[in-house]
Amino acid sequence: MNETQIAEIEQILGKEKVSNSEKILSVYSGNEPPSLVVWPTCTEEIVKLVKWANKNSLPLVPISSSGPKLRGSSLPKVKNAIIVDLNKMCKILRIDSKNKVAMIEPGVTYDQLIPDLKKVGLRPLMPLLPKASKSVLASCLDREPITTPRFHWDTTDPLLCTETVFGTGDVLRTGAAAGPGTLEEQWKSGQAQKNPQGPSQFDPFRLVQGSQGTIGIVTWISMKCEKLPDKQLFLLAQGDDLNSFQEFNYAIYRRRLADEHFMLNSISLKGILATNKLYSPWTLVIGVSGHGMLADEELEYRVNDIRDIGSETNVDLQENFDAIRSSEIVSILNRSSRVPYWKLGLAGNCFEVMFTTTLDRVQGFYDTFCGVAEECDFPVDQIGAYVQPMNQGTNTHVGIDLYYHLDEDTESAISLLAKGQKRLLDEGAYFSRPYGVITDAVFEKASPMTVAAMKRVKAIFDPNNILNPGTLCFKEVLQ
Amino acid sequence: MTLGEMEDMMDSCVRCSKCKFIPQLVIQSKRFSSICPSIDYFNFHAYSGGGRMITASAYYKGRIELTPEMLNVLYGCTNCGGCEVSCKWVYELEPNEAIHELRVAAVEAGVGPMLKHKKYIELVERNKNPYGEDPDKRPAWLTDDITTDESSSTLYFVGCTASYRREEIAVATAKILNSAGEDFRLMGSDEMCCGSPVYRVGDEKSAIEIMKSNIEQFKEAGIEKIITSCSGCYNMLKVEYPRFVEHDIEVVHTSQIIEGFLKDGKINLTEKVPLKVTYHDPCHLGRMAEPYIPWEGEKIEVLSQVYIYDPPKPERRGAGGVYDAPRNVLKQIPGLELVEMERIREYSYCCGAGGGCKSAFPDFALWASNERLEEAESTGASTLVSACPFCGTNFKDGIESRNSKMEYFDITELVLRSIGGDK
Amino acid sequence: MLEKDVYAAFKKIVGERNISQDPGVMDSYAFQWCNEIESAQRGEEPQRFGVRPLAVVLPKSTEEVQAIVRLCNEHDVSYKAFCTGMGPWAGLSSPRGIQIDLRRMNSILEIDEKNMYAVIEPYVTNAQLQCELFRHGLMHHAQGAGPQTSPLASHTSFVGPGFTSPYTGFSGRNVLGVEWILPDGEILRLGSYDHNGKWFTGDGPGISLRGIMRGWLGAYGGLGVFTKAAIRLFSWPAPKEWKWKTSGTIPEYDWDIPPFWKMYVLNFEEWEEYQNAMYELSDREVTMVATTSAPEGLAALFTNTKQEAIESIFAGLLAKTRNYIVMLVAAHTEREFEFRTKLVQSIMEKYGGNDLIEEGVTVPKPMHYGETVRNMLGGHAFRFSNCFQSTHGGMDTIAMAVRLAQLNQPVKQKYIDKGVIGDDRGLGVWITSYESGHMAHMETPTVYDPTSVESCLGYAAYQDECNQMDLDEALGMPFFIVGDDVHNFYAERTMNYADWIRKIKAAFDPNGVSDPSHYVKGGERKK
Repeated sequence: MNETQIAEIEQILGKEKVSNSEKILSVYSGNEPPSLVVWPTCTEEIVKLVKWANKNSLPLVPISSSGPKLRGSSLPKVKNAIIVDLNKMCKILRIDSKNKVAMIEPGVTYDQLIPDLKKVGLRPLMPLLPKASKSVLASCLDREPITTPRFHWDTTDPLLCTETVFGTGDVLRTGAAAGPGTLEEQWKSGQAQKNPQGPSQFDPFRLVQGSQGTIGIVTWISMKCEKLPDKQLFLLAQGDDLNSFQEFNYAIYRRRLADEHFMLNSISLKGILATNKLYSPWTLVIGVSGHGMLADEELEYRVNDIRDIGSETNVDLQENFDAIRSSEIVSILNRSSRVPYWKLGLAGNCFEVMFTTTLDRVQGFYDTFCGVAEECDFPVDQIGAYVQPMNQGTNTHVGIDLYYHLDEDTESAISLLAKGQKRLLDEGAYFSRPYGVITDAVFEKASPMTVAAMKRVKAIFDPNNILNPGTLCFKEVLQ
Repeated sequence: MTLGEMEDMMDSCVRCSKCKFIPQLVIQSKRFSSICPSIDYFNFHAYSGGGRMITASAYYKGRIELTPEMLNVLYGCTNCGGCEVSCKWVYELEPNEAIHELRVAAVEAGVGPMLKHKKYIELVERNKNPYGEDPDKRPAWLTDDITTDESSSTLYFVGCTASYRREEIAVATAKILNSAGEDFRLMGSDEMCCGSPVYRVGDEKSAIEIMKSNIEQFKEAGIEKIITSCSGCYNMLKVEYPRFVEHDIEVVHTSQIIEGFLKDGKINLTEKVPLKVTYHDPCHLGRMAEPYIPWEGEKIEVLSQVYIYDPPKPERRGAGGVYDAPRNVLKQIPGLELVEMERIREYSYCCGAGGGCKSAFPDFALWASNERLEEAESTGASTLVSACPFCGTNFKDGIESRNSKMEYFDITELVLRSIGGDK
Repeated sequence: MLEKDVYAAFKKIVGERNISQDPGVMDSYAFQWCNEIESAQRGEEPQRFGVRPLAVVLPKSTEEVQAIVRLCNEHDVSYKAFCTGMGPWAGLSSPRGIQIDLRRMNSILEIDEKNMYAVIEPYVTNAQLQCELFRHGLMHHAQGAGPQTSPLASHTSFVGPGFTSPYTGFSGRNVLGVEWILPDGEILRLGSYDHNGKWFTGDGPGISLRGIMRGWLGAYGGLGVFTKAAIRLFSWPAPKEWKWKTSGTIPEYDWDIPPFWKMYVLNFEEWEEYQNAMYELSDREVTMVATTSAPEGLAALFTNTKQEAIESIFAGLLAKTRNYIVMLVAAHTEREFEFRTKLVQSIMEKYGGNDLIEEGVTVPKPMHYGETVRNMLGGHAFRFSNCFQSTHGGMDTIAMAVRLAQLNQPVKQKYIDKGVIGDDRGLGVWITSYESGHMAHMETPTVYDPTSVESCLGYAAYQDECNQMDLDEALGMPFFIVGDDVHNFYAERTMNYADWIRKIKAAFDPNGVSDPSHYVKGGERKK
């Protein structure tokens, strides 16, 4: 970037919101180092910036979270990128307990949001123990799975409405927030930006979500929340094999009796709880709650029905086992990770593998991956696994972590990351959120029409490929 | 009612497609959810009750002409009335009536009916039956062991199909009547077609002539009660005749009179008939068998845009058909097990023969009977029973075409067997 | 007429039996409910016959649909596909157009019992799908249009509230994947299918192309043809041995109510109490159904004929009915049932409500339970005059739905006073909540006489006024803000959203042959 260009950006944002210091740039360095970092604080600034970038054919890479980058989706893949760090936009704009919704800016973290929600009897729908600096908005935009599948109606949940600056520099409030009326007028009419769909005959929020910053820059979102439980009980089960929980899990999905519902392998559990205990190969976590009037009775009926299903399906449900107590599980929910991020605790480093499948196939995929690990000489006891039912059980997120030590097993981890994911892909794992080395193979497996359709969409909302170029299947470089 | 009088009614169709299915609440499976053989076979919307009502309105408005394809639309329908039962769950519309009126209009315009229909109408006029059989041979089915009483005021109106094609039904009926000691007479070679095949294809003028002449003949013979073993004849004499020709003759179907015999102990079902049977409700004995009760009164706007009839208009929704009599009879036959199909009573699926289809659209009629036979077979029954020789003929053709192991009997045949009368 | 060679080419694809251009057959497609309203809104004589297609084709397979669409592109023929096709949106706007009647594509391709989804073709109806799902202890979200309509149509292409929305959500949010013939004839299959032949999710990789597929309202068939859809399923709360069983004779059928089911009509004197109760009942997941209509509507819900409905009105139902919620507690176990019924009772008492069923004001028979879950109750509104249509439709919160109901009353009353629409004292609404109360919508079913020009014009004017009111009072976007002209009217005060839809249309329908009726034409907006 030349001086004139920097000066123009400084003109738009003010000097204090722009930096090209090498030290700062290095924090955001991906395949390529960025040339500038900017910290806009309002939508208008972002609009100007995007328009400027279009005029100057310079790429913008939006980023909301800080801290360790395990996936690298928001690190530049091309030269001369300008990092648009939205961290300074960190206001909780509105919380509406009656309508179970919060409106937040990109820089808001879970630890910031949770206490505010708690005050009005709400809790967020959130992922398991995200890193402390994780942006809630980014998590929603990434389709990060939540621990409470009962509340996960559509893949997009908990994301509702957004305000998005598209790659063209146009602003659109998506969903019911589009209007008619301003947000203030909508609030006055009783609305709370709850309907994410639309406006009208398209769903732009579905295009922005999962786009890894390639379609628009989101300046706020509204997100679904749930009532805080008044009563809660956790039940655990242990198993050598995920299939031993299968019948139970499917029955529970149908009944929507549980809130929290997920499975961890022993390695992940060790990492999360930072212990050296010996756990059963798999632990199933079921959280049950009652709230409001008759909370006790609600909890009782839910727990008893769950226990009945447990008996019918031969799953031994206990609040505590020798190795693990439910209070330990409670301690890791509805909060973010300690610092440093727990995934780095086991071996100092972590690669993430994540895909979507159905529950009945998870154990098979897991075994396949462990098989490849053996081929790659990667220690199986450094493979964590987190199995999170989604869409009320219709599909399942599988997160596999490779905890590796720098130097010692970096090479085998890199090899496993490539080979293991490829094997999973070949066997039908669906990488719905492709990151890193597997990305190109995923789009090769998708039909050419899917890629063509995505490119047509991209050409509408970011015709000049300003936003995070080189990401997903959007490989075109700037003209 | 003329098409003109029906215009508002026809224009009130919301094209919802309920007329293509049995009433939605009674649907138990996807496979047997439809009610209209015509839309099932031809598929274009025009081949549904609602679709025909729209085309009738379009014709009345002068938007369209009755092209050869339109004639297919108009006559590729068994006029079974299923659409109307489903429609009336919600709406005050009469698609089946509109179809009939369009047929009448087509005939008046010199376009309808179809060639095959015209041919059999000629035969009816010439030979008193649509098959072109010799009128003198009409009573040829009569065997020596059957007693008739020509002085009786009760007439067994045999009908063309039982006389010439399904003689076993005529024989069984007569023997059952004998067995119960019910005196009856026949019209013999003087019996004239009831007019059903003529009326159904819209040649109302000829049909009314037949009705008048038949009633005159009955009156001359002092007939007070008519027994029919044919649902088509039953429907004509009981339901359609009174709309055009006044008469006070009691009309009963064999299933009803047998039910009465059993109740009064006039016959005894002693012989076992070890069959698992399922019963097909003929349209003309079922949903179409409700009498028309003439109504005169006022349309009153009780709420804005909402009208009711004062006095209340008698509803014709298919509830008043003859459904229980044949079932009550079958259930009393020792050794016989009755299992039901999914589509029964007012939402029975038509056999496919009626409305002039058996002659003009034989492929369609055969296809429809196969549809129904598949349903009958799905019950696990070995035998299909009905109470109409015309349905019976179509089912027998269907059974042959699909090499079905299923047997077909008329209800009278099984009763005859159970009273030991077939020996 | 289509050129002979073009017609012959279509015929070659579907076969002689499955194509027609007879004017009478075409008129059975041109005729649509509500055409009389739309023609009135355009300032024309109200009438039900709309644009007559040049031909109708009945394809049997995806390949045939694709070939038809390609041919349309080649010969500049517009097309619109539809299933049962109830409403003007099923019809054409272009005079050089054909209709693709999907009636012959009617298979249930897969029911994945464990993972709770079904893959269906276009002409599978709600009632048909329901029957097959019950055998697996499952149900789907059936849209309010009725049991005879197509769940694929609703899930892929149309706004989709239903009676079980608190429990089963909204059609557009329950789609997992689709097979989609794009306007230019290319086939797109969304989500997981390309990766493993299964349809368990329709999103990604990366962005979700569901984003261009339908939005909230659906593209009303204006962006290609959907030939398969995978939709989410839900637990059917009845024991395994329970079977859908009816007996009796029309209209008095009997129906076997599963154990642990109980219907309520909770009545609240004031809207505020109603609103609080609606929030709490929905949030607490106690009810499969949470529906509100006018007192006059209640008269139609649990009766079998117009006569009965009117008799119940004159028997005093209106005096005892205010703001009510029709609820169905449908539990899986006795324990669940006892908890839910107790909680319903507590919520009712908390907000000072009363149960109109308990008090004998309305008496649902067993068959009405069946009609409720078969999604038949909406159809009862047609009984009054063979016709109704809805205005408004905005979807966001329960509070907005209530505000909309309150603001609508005096406007509606004005048209009732003119005698052009049905008299429900302006109270006629339909409110339902979604997804355990996370959303709600309100629409205003309104009875009119389709055979009276005055009534059609009156209804059309009422609908226009409702649309204007929603715009001015920020009450969400009504259902029928579709089609270029109407979009223009709304988009100016709604961030010009329609420009984006036009760009999508242009990008995916380069030849503009997917008929844009009730959607948009591609390209830039005409200023």
